[in-house]
Amino acid sequence: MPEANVAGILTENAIKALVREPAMPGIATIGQDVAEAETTFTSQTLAKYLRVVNQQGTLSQMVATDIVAIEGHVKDLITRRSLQGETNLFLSISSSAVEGFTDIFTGVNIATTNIGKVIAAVAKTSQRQAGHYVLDEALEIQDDPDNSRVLIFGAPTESIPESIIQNWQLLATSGLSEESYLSLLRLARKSPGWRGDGSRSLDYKSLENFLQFWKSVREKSVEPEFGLVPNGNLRVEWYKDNRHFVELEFRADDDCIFGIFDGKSVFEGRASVKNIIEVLATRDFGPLKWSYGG
Amino acid sequence: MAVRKQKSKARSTRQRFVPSFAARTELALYVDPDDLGRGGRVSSTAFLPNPDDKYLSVNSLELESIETIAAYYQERFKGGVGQVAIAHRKVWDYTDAGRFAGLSIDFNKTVGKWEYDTGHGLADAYKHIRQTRVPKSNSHCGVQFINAQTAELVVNKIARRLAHRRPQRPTII
Repeated sequence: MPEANVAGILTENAIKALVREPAMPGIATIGQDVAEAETTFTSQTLAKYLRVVNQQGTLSQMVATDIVAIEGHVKDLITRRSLQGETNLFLSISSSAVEGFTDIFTGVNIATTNIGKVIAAVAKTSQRQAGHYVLDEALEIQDDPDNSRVLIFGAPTESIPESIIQNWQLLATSGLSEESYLSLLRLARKSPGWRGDGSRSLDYKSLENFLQFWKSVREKSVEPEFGLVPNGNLRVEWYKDNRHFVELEFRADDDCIFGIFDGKSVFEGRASVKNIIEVLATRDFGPLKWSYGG
Repeated sequence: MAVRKQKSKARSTRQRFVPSFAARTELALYVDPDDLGRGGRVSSTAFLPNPDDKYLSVNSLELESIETIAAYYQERFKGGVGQVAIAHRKVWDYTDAGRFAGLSIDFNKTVGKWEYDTGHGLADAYKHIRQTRVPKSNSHCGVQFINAQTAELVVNKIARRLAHRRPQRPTII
C-alpha cells in the first residue's frame, strides 16, 4: 500500500502524552495494554512505526486484515457519524497488525506496523480538510521544546461532554445505533440548570452503568428511548403502550430505579443492575423488545 | 349600593387570581423536548422535580389561558423563540397519582383546600405561588407533594402514573 504525503512522525513525548490521556476524544491513545506498549517498544520504534500520514483525496476502502474492536456496526457508526459531522474516529489495531497497514477514514491515513495493541481515538470535524489540519497540528508537537502540550490533536474536545468522554471506549463498542448515540450526546450536552435551578447534567457514572447493562442485554433487546432525570441520572424506556413499558433509571451507585409494567403486573422499586437483569431474564427479556409502534 | 358593587367587583377580581384547585381544573406543565418520547408521549421524567425543588412547578389553567402560559414557558425556557410542549393534567390526576404512590391527600372541606400528610403534619397539597421575577407568571403554582424531599420511589411512582397511565398528547404551541 503506497504511503503518500508522509507528514511526520510522532515523537517519544508525543507518544507518552498519548498514553497519559487515554480514551479522550481529541487525543490518540495507546490502548488497553499501555504498559506492554511502553515496555516492549522503545520510543524510536514507536516513532518509526506510528506514522500519521496526510492523504489527499476521498474516502477509500479500509485495507486492514487484522483489526480488533472495530466491529462492523462500530465502523459503520463511526463512518456515518463522521460524515454527519459528529466528529469521531476510532481505530483499534491488533498486536499482529500487518506490515504497511493503512487505514483511511475521511481522508486521514494512519500507517502503522507491528506496534502492539494500539488504539487511536481522534475527534475531528467532519471536514476532511479540517481533519488534515487537526493532524498537521498534532504533528507540531515535534516543535514544542517542552512537549508540554497534552492535547496532541487540537480537536474540538470542548464540544464533547465529559460524560461522553469518560465513556468513550464503552460507547464505541456498545453497538448502539447512530440515532441512539446522537440522543445520548444531546442529553450529555445539557448543562447544569437545563431545566431550572438545581437540575444537573448527565452523570458519567450513570451512563457507564447503563452501557455496562446494555452490554449484557443488547443481543436480546431493541434500543431504548433515552431521557435525562433532573438529578443527572440517565433513564431508559422500552415503551409499547400505556400498559406495557419498562423504565430504568441508572444511578451512579450501581443501583437502578425501575418500573416494569407488563399488562398484568407492575414491579416498581430499586435494585441492583444485576438483579434487574435477573428479573428481565425470567421474562426471557421480552419487555426489552417493546418499542412504540413495534 | 355603589360601594357594594365596588366591593363585589374587587372580590370577583381577587377570586380570579386565586385558583380553587378544584379536582377537575387543570394544571399545565412545561415539557422539555427531550422529555417527549416517540409518538409525542410525555415521559415520566417531565414530572420529576429538580434536586432542590420544594414543589413541582406548574401553571393553573384556571387563571390563565394555555396561550398565555405557553408564552411564559417560551420566554422562560426557550428565550422567547420556538415551540413549547405543555402537558396538562387535572388536579385530580395529580391527587390520584399521589394517593396511589402511598401519600395521604384529602380535601379539607373546612378550609376548602387539598392537604397532604408530610409525616410531620398536614400541609397544602397545591399552592398558588405567583412568579414575580421575570418572566412573570400569575398562574404559577406548586404541586407541593412532589418535591425533592419526597421519597425517590414515591416521586417516581407518581411520575409514571401521570406520564403513562393517563397519556394526553402534549399541547404544542
